[in-house]
Parts: sequence; C-alpha cells; structure tokens
Amino acid sequence: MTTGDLRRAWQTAWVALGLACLAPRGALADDGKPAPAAAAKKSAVPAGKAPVTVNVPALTERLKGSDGSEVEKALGEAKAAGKGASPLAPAVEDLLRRGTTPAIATLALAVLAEIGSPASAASLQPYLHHRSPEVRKRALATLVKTGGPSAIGWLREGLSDSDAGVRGTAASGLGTLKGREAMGDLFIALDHQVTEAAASIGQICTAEACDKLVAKTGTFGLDVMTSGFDQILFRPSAEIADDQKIRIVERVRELGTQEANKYLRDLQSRWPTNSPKVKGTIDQAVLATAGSRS
Amino acid sequence: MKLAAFVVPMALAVSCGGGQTRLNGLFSTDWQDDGGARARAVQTKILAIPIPKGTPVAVGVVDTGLVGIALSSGKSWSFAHALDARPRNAGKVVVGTGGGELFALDAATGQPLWTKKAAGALRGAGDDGRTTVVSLASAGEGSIILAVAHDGTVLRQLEASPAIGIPAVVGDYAFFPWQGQYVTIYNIATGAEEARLLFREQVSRAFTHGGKLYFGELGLFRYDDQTWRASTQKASHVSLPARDLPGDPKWFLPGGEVRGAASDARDDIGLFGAPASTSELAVDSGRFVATYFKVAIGFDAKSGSLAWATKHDADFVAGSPFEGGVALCDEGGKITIVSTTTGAVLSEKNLGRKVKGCAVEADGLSPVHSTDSTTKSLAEQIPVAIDLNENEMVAIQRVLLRELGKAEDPQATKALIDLASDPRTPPPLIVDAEAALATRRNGADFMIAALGRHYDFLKDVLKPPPVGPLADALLAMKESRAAPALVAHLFDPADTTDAIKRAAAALAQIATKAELAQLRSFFALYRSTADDDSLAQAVVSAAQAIVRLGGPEDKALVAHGAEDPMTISAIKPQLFALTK
Repeated sequence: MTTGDLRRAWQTAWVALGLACLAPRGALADDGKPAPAAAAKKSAVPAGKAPVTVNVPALTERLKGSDGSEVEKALGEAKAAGKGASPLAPAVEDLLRRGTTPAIATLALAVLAEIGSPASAASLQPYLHHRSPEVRKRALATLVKTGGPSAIGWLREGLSDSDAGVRGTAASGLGTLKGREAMGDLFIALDHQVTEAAASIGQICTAEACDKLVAKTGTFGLDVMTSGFDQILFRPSAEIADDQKIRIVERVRELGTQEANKYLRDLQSRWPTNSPKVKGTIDQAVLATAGSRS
Repeated sequence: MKLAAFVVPMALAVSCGGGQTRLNGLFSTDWQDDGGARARAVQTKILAIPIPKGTPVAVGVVDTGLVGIALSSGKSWSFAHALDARPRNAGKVVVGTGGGELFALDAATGQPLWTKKAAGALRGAGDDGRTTVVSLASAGEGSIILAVAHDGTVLRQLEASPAIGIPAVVGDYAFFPWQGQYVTIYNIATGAEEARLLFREQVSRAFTHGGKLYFGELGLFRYDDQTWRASTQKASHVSLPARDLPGDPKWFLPGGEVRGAASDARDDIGLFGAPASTSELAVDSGRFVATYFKVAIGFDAKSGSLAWATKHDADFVAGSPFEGGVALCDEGGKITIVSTTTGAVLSEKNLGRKVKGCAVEADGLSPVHSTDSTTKSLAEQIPVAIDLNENEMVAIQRVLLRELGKAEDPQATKALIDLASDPRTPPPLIVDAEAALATRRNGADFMIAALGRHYDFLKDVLKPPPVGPLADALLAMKESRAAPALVAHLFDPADTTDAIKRAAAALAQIATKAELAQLRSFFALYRSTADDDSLAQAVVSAAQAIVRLGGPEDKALVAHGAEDPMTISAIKPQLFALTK
C-alpha cells in the first residue's frame, strides 16, 4: 500500500462510516442528554434493539490476526453487538495500540464508542493527536462515550486544536460530559468563534455563568445564542430558577426581530406545562415580537 | 573629441566682472600623459595652502526654497528661491540654482553672498572660504564653470564641452574632474592649466575634508605627495569593501549628474565614510555607514563585516560623514548625529519641517567619540532594526537576517527563533531564518524552550515553532536534552510532515530510553496510516530509534511491522533492514 493509496483509503473510510455521525451536536445528542428539539425528533425512532451476543474468544482471536478483511469483519460484528461487545474492549484497544489501517482504526473507534467503557479511554489518547482531523474528531466523539478520568482534560485540549471541526467536537463533548471545570475555556472558545461552546455552556452553567452567556446576546448570531439558551431554559428548575429563564426570554424579546419571534414561537410550542410563569412570559414575548422585521 | 568652446559671456548675463577666459587646450583629449611631471611640479605649492574646514550645515528643500540649520550652533535660517537642482554645501557656502539664477549663501546664516543670472542647473560646487567654484550643466553634456569670489566677483567663467563633475578649489587652484579619469588643476589667477591628473579608476568629484583635498567616485584618492603618480596607480587610495546591499548603494554618486531638487530613490540608500586623518589613507574610525530608508548599518571598513544596526523613525535621504560620526538627514527634516563606531545617536537637530530634498555637510563638526558603554549586542540590535512592523523592507531585512545568522551569540539563535515563529514575518524571511537556524551550533537552551511551544488556538499561538530547523541544529549538536520536546512534536498535528520527518530523524540519534514509549506509539500510529512520504520517513526514523534504544521485544515490534500486510509497502524494506 502506498502513501497515496492511504490518503484515498482514509477518505473512503469516513464516507463509509457516515460523517453525519461525527457532527458534534448530532452525535452527542443521540446519547448525551439531548436538547428538547432533538429529543422530540428522537421520539419517532423505534426504541431499543434486540441484544446481540458475540463469541468473545473467537472474535478476540480474529482481532489479533493480520488479515485485514477478517479484522474488519470481526469489528463489524462487535459493533453490531453494542454494549454486548464489552468483553472485546481489551482486544480492540490492543488493536489500536498496535496500529492498523485507516478503515480498521475507524471501525475500532466506533466499536469502543458503542461499548462506552472508561477503561478504553487510554487507548484513544494517541488518536486524539492523529494528523487526520477526521480521526481526531472520531476519537473525541468516542472519548465522550467512554468518559474516564482524563476525558475532560483531553477535551479541553481539543478546544485548542488547529481544526475547527475538532474544536467544535471538543466543545460539544464538554457539555455532554458536564465538564464544569472547563467553563472558562468554553467562554474563551466561544469568544474565538467556537460556536458549539454556547450549547455546552448552556448545559452546565451556574446562574452567574448563564448570565455571562446571556450578556453575549448581540455579539453572536441568534442561532448561536439560542443553542445555549435552549439548554438553559429546559434545565430543571432545581438547577436554573424560573426568574433566570424569564430574563433570558425577555432578553430575546428585547431583540425585537423576526428571528427572535420565530425562536420564541418555536419555544412556545415546545414549552412544558410545569412552568406556567415562564410560559406566560414566553406567550407575551411572542405577542410583543409579532410583526417584527428581520 | 571636440575642443571646449570659448567663453560664452551670455552664460552669465550680468555681473561678469572679468576673467572670461579662452580655454587654450583646457579639457583637450589630445593631452599626453606626462607621467605626473607637471602635477609633481605644482604639488608643493598646493599642499602648502591651508584648507579651512567647511561650515557644518544641513539644508532642506521646501516648497518656498531652502531651510537650513547650522549644525554647530543650531541656528536656523531660510531662503526663498526657486530651485531646479539639489543645492550643494561646499566650504562656507550653500550654492543653488533655479529661476534662471545661480546663488551662493553663507552656510552659517543663510544670508545671500551673491546671485548671478545663469543658464544651467547645478552639478556641484567647491569652496575654500574665499572663492567658490561651480559646475553647471549647460545644453547637451557641456558645462559652464565659474570661479566666484565671496564678494560676487566672477574670477573665471568657462564653457566646456565635457561634463565637469563636482569641482574643488584651494587658493588659486581649481580642480575640475571630467571624463571619469581626469582632474585638471586650473590656475584661477592665470587662467592656465597647471597640470592634469590621470586616474585609472572612475573619478568625478573633488572635495575638501578635514583640511585635505580628495577626488573620488568608485573609491577615494587623497591629494598628497603621491598624487602625481595617479596614472601609475600609486596615488593614495582607499575603497570600501564590497557588500551585497539592496539597491547597490555607492559611496559617491557620479559627480557629473545634476540631481533633482527633490529626493529620489537613490537618496533613500547611501554609503557614508569619511577619510581618516592618518598618514596612510584609510576610512575614519575603520567604519562606514550604509542607509536604506529607515535603517542605518555600520560596517567594518576593511572586512565589510557588520558592526551595528539601527532603525530610525523616518527615511534617511542624505548624510555626511565626519570624524567619529555621520550626520543623517531624514525626510522629516531631522538631522541625527550617529556614532560611526557604535551607531549610538549622539545628538539631533531639526530643520523644523518636512523636506523634499536634503543636503548635509558635516566636515566642520567637532570630532565625536561614542562613550556609550551600554551598547547592545548585534543579536539584540539586529531584530530591532529588522522591525517586522515594516512590511516593505524585506530586502534589507534579509541582509540583516543573514548577519544575524553569522553572529556567534546564543541570543542570535533566540532572535532567529522569534523571527521564524512570528506570524508577521514575511515568507522570504521565514525561509532565511529557518535556513540560518538549521546551521546554528549554539543557543540550544533557547531551541529547547522554543520546542516547548505548540500550536494553541485558545491562546492565539497560531504558528508552531520552526521544528524542522531546530531539530536539524539540535541533532548536529547531539543535544539529547531536546529529545522530550522533539518527541512531543511527533504528535502535534499542527506541525508539517516535513517538521515531523526532521524531528524523527533527530530522535533516531538523540532520543533516550525515556522517549521509547512515545516512539513506539508513533510507530504504531503511522506505520500503516502515513499518507505522506515525509511522514513515512518519520516512521522509519522512529523505528531506528526504537531498535537502538529498546530490547529484543522492540526489535520484534519493528520486525512485525516489516512483515505486517497492513504496514505501508514503501517503508517495509527499510524496516526490514533495521531488524537485521
């Protein structure tokens, strides 16, 4: 295999896996605590899969082999087993440590993501610094699934990556993993146009940090800001007081634009019944911004 | 060549008090070299005449005429007059032409000494404090030459067909350079040619400095008891060492040219060196100064090596050397007196306004000797002079950077690293800085510290350090201390694959067992995924380090890599060779 062949192989591998699964928000929304809009969409998906069992000794043996097609098949079977493939995690981790082809490495990362064991995190570390940004994104996405003691630190490092996509994946992952210690970095990232940081801040902000985010309204586009607001507004009242949610709605209302009205109407349609006070504010804001210009 | 014409009285329509002279073979090319006999015969008389130093003055061309400042007293003056050529400071006078007039001013006060109606623009002038000689360009390549007493009496008035360069006068003797090789010694009192000097090197100006008379263009000849031997190349002579400088600056511009009143591109670059008052002709202080727009650089007058460098806040457009220093005039009208030895600014004067052109004469200034003991090292001076905020100075920046590369000072290594890492550095300078860094053999600590820096988006570190050149240099210095920093760069995706290749090549020889685990990881990560030839070569280098540092199991690891079908085929033979 030549280096040119490898370049093409990487491209093919990523297409085969479907890059959509690497999109930070989408990928994380599947397994992390989803935003309400995403949750509404997910409710249409049939729940649960039938458990798949795997022959651990046989698959482990195949994963140790040097026949690429056999390794790929074994990984395919492991991936289909989901968490049922947990016993195979050490063999898959070992495969990554030994080094393998782009396609197989991609599959191996996907298997570890399905298994989601913190013990796998260490084997991901070299891939977080791989020269291919696609590999780095995949490794970060896998890390978000496995968690582990170093996960937050490595995700924070990802915010400083030279690739925008990797930075976005890291920012989203920090929200998913509730990396509150990264709050400062997330704000810096947001100020550096890592817009995915807004949603993560919304997921984990304290009252003070949430206010800091709200203060950035006008600095960033409404789409960026509402990705964070949505997260805050739908957090339980025990975490975020209704008064703070009302201030956010009022801040959006103050914008008085068509886009603001559109967002508020969408919010109104999704708002649960257990927060009548906030609901009332949303209703008034929708009325107040009706007929606004863009 | 056509003989020079007779005097044309119309050249000076008024005030021609006398001395209109037939040329009688003056400037004739039929002249036969007499081996310097006549020049030798007259030299004792001429050398006995004391030559006063000139009035140190800077003159600026402004819309209304001239502004001047006496450099010793600081007294300013102005003179309203049309100008069609650059004014000339000579001896005690400032001479100019414009509006059909030739005029001379007292250099110290700006007071007019005399004004004559005259056709032709000023080429040059000489003055000995009593008499002023002037060369004007007439129609075609011809010249009008005048000798005028300070009281305005025209002593001699000649029209000659060759272009007469910048003349000088000492007592009754005028010196007219012409045709690039001759200097005619002309007796103003008798109207006769006393002698002719024949030089074997381009000569187009005569001038006095420090009480002595000189001729020059490419180099400098002193008028002394050896000058009569000029035709046999035995006259006292000095030249500046060749330096590859942008714009190809000259010590002296051709004296036969008329310079426009306003500065042009040739004024933005220059070389300044004064003759020393030593028995053997040499350059004062052993230094000469080059200017390139805002930059001034001091060079050793013998070796041409860089002695100092400094950057000014405005473009230099004129200058004049004197004993121990050089007076540099900038477009803002500021005159900066700089030590030739150290580049230190010794004093400043100001013409008070921006100037379109400038002329300086510093001969009469008192000698200066820099006593600045806080002069910074070249490694500190050069980066300041390079000044990356200047984006149109690449040509001189490259010269300075090359000099930085030669400096045997670890600080120079640091400066090169900073230049190579600075996002403002223009690409041609980065190439030069990296090339210079790769050949450095000192400053390892700075190199290792630089390698500790990585791309960091959140901290706005958007340019990695020059890993490749640093790796080359550290390898050449066998600096094992650099191995931890180098191995970290193998995993930095912001580095180029060329940088990684060079880092790995260095690690192949200087890595220690402490880096073994990371080398194994790199080998595993890329032996089957390297999609670039440089990266593939880095894998081989990593394997080399693993085999050198590791045990049998490590050799087996590489051997397995050599046999594994998943390993890229291009590197298998090299891996196999390592395991033999």
